[in-house]
Amino acid sequence: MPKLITTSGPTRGREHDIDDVCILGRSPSCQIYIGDLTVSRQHARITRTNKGHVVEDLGSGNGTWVNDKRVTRHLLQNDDVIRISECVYRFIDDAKQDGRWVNMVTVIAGNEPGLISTNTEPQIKFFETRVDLSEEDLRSDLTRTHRMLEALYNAAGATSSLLDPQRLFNKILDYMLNVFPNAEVGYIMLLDDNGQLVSRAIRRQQSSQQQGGGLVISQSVISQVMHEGKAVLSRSNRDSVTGYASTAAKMCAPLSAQGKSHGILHIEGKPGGRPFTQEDLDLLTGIARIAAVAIVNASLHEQLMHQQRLEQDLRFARRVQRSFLPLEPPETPGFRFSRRYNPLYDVGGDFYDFIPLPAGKIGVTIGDVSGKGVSAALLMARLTSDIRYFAISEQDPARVMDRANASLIASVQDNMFATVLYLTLSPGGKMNICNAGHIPPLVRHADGTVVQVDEATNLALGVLPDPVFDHAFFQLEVGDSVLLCSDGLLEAKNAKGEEYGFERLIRTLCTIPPHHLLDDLHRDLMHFTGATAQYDDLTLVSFTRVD
Amino acid sequence: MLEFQQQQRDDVVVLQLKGNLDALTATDLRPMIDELVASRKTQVVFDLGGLTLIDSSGVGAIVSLFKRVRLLGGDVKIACLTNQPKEIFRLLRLDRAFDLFETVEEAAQKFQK
Repeated sequence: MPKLITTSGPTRGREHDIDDVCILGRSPSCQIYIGDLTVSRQHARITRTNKGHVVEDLGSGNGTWVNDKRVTRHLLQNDDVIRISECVYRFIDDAKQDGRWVNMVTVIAGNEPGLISTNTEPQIKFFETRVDLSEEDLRSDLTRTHRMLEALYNAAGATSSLLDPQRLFNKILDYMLNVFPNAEVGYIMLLDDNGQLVSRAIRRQQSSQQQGGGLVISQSVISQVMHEGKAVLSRSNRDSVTGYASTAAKMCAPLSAQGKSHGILHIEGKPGGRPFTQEDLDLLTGIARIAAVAIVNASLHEQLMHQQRLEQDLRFARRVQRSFLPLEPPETPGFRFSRRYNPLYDVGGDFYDFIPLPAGKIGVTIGDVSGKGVSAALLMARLTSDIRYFAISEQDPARVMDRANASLIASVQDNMFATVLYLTLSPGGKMNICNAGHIPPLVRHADGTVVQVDEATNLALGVLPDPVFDHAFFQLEVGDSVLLCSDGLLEAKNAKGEEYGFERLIRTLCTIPPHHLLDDLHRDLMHFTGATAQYDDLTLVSFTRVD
Repeated sequence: MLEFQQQQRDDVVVLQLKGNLDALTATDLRPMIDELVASRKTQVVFDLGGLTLIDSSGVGAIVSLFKRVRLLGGDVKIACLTNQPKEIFRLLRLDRAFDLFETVEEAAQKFQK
């Protein structure tokens, strides 16, 4: 298609396709708009005739000049220079130049004459206009062009109030289809978390008959748009025999905000429709900038909402989790129980339980599920109810752990496991213990000596499908106390970074009286840590045989 | 901070971990674990000689690979445990699930037999 290239004047570098009729002038309705008061509203007209394209002066005040001669009517030749006031155009007739239509890509480029190469379309020839489209230039272009200003104003109005990303994408595309009636379909593609460009929205003209059809954008265009921040215009490919367009015209502009490319806005023309022009591309670029800001805002809003939802989930999970922990230690003849539970996070993985069993026995559980947050809380909730159920149907603590392990293996994510200590207490003081990877119980005898029960320590739950669980008996005498704890106790740190540790724990247990064992132990822990922030939940359970 | 290196010795993959394997760094390990499982590399030795600290999420990452590799008929062996990680493995009685070795060579040889 023949075209005019602006070689001088405020829009230097612009290209204009010349269709059958093309009017140049100061009126915004002109195909080639010249924002200059010395130019008449309808200054000149270029018309296709069977001899070629003809330029006519439309009675302008300052005249139309071709090759430095004032003309009223002139048959244009390739390379003719047309001057209207300050604007100078070169007339290029490709058909005469190389005898066939070629596909062209125009790039709003920086200083470098960027040559676009593509692997998939080697026959395509690329032309480039050298317009330095800095922010300043874009802005001055916009103020010159009423149409653009109005469109951009409307675009800002249409997008600024929408915070739901999908609705925003659709709105932007619908707006584009409205602004460019010759567009058939529009796409918004955005970078995902992995840096991949993925299609987030597709909209077609309502009149469109086309269905489906994939989006094909060459890598080189994406690279130009994404990495160099350039808008790219691909004119339609014309069949050399029929002269009809065989591929649609395309425009692609970067969605960049705050100096970062977030994706692309891509528009494809109707097959055989009016091709896009340089001005269309400028307009698309401007709207894309406004759209990008709205998209960034919407995505920030979405993140905020997501964060709030997560926090809500956590609060809910904490309530669920608390509901699984016993409110009060049980009243059991012969024993006195106490417990202390200080979850550090909204939801932690620590848990404990007291389970009334047949024949006056009682089951005691303490455990820690790996990980933090909602998944740990849900796993803990499940494990607590599993153990309760198995404890009632199985007498042997090792069988209880066996079944809890099988249930855990079958149900959970592969990176989660749990340490659980489960024991049963008989009225006569007999303790039956099965320890799956948890800190062993400490027994404080009435005389102040402390022993660790490290028999029957087994693999943590949820690691192997069929481990062997051992159990062990321990006889408690009247006055003996038992302490069960989570690693939040042993790993509690002071300001020097030292851990509370096993030795200090044993020393403390030896010296404090059993009546208020947990309170005294906790006081000693607070004394040790001072104001140092802790990183783990603290769960303590103790019981004393009183008769 | 966690550094990790992957090395192929015949059919055995040696994963060398240095630094801390905790809730923060365990997620860094995840893509490598997924890739090992996807490429069906099922004979894995963890060289934990440079590991200074491990927490339950860290153990979770190793256990995760272990469970998935075993489903494919493979195994995970642990070499060069020291200090705190050794304590954790002892406490959780992970020696009942994993074969523990003093050196990477011993662990790798065990696969060859």
